[in-house]
Amino acid sequence: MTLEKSDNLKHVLAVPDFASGSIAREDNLFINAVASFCATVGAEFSMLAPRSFLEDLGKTASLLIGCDLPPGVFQADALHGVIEALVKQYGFHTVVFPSSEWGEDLVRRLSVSGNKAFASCVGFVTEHGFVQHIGQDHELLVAPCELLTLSEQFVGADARAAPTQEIGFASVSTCSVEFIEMGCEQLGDVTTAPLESARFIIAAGNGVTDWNSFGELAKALGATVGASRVVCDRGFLPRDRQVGSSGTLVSSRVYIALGISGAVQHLDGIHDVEFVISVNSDPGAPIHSRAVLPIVADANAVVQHLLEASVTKEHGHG
Amino acid sequence: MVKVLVLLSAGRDEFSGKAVPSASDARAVKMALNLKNADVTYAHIGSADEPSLRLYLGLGCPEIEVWTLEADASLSSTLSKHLEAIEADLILTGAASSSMASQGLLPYKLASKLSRLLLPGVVSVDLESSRITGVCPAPDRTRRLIAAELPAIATVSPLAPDPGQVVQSWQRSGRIVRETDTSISVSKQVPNVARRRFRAKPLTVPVGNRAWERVRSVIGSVDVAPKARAMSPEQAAQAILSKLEDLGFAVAESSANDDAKKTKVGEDSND
Repeated sequence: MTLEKSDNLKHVLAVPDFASGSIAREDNLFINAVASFCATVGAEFSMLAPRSFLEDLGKTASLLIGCDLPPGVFQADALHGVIEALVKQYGFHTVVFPSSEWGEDLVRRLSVSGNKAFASCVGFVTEHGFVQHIGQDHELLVAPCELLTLSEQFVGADARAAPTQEIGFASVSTCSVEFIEMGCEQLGDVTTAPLESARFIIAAGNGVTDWNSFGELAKALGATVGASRVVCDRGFLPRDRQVGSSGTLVSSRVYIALGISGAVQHLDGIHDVEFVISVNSDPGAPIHSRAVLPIVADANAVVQHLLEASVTKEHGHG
Repeated sequence: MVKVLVLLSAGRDEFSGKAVPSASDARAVKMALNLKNADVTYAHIGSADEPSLRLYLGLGCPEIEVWTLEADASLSSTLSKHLEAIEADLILTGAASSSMASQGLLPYKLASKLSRLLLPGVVSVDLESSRITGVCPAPDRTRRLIAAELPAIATVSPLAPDPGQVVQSWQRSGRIVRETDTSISVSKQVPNVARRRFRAKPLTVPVGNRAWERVRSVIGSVDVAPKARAMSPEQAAQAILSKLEDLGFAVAESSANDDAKKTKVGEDSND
């Protein structure tokens, strides 16, 4: 694998998280943001990804580099070593990470080892430097630097499709991590976990009346409990469970809406959810048009059957 | 007894420059207070008159040691000098005291200087005699277990449990111990932060007949929502369960198995 070193073109190396072990929504957002960043600064886009993802990532970057580290497992020291080796070997001008837990960690490791400045959560590029997003609605201009993390809300030039595509491999099966083990265990009581950071939410609306079964179902599925405004107003579930524009804006991967019709405020609250499954007896309920699996049925009966099915399944596995 | 050192930074509000406890440092204080079998020291480098120190006392730390920064010494070299004296097994710091440029580097500098392992952004920790286990939030919204041999450094995530309110009586009963009287002061200059401007995003052409189709074509996921179907509760339950399985959310028992497998993969690759 060779990298053409034309002097007037900078080379950007992007390192997505792929934390879920697959190419998830946040990874797509990041890849789009980097493509846009590269188009803005006039740079060539290269990406480091697990070897097994290279085919799926096809036309996203002009150079894909596969590595042998397992996806979905964070091995900071090993990844750090790989990136440093790649930068040395191919002369990448800039290394870009997502502004996530892992990205922010890696950028600091590289910053310390290379004694370079970094910018975090960059949302815009001007001729004077990078604009960092700070808090909800503030920004700070910082000098351009070689290490940065990109905000999900990055605004830049329209990205063009990558003209050429080359696939190479960085072989790094050996890693220097000896002590740090990182598992994937979900900890604590999932049903009452904070809604904003939940991956899987089961929410109840006015159509649910059997609260005991609903609670048991959430436990059996391992889902976080959410609710519509009506349910919280009536006191069936606490206020911190409310999903919607006057409650919590959620961005889970899966959202099961039981007996929720889908008021505008509620749909606003689930705007960032990837997959919605809706159960409502009204075929015209707006929630159905948002769902990947819209079901017209009585929510209570479905809760009962889901509970039975998941309990027997659980025992079947055990 | 495990020796723990909590490093506290001068907390400043990013926009007004007012003294506030830094969010992740305050969480580090709370975490250290809840540790069992630990001998905790709280320390700050800089001025003993720093107003945010009183706020950390109000969160429950009984005593804060203030170490002086010599005029020509760097922060990490001063720290490592003190650290040799204390011999802390675990150093707890906040992840970053603010979101300004190049913030949150100190723990990483310390880790490389002392060649210790760094656990990034923990929300809880457990100490055994020579081992630390912690929980870290990951970008995919799971919380993952992390473990290392002591001595180590851990940074505390702003997602850790809320530190609670500043209690006035604790503020009064807590003590600030100064090393010497000479001290530096933190700059009172308010950073040049501006309100975020509106920036038009490049136009992406939405495709589709209905609003949600157009939205989805821009967001990137392409599957088309099917029409709502009436079905019996049994069928509905089966449909939901099989959909969940497709999306990687099988019922609790089998998902626990998946987790165990994944953990194993991580451990194998570490060997």
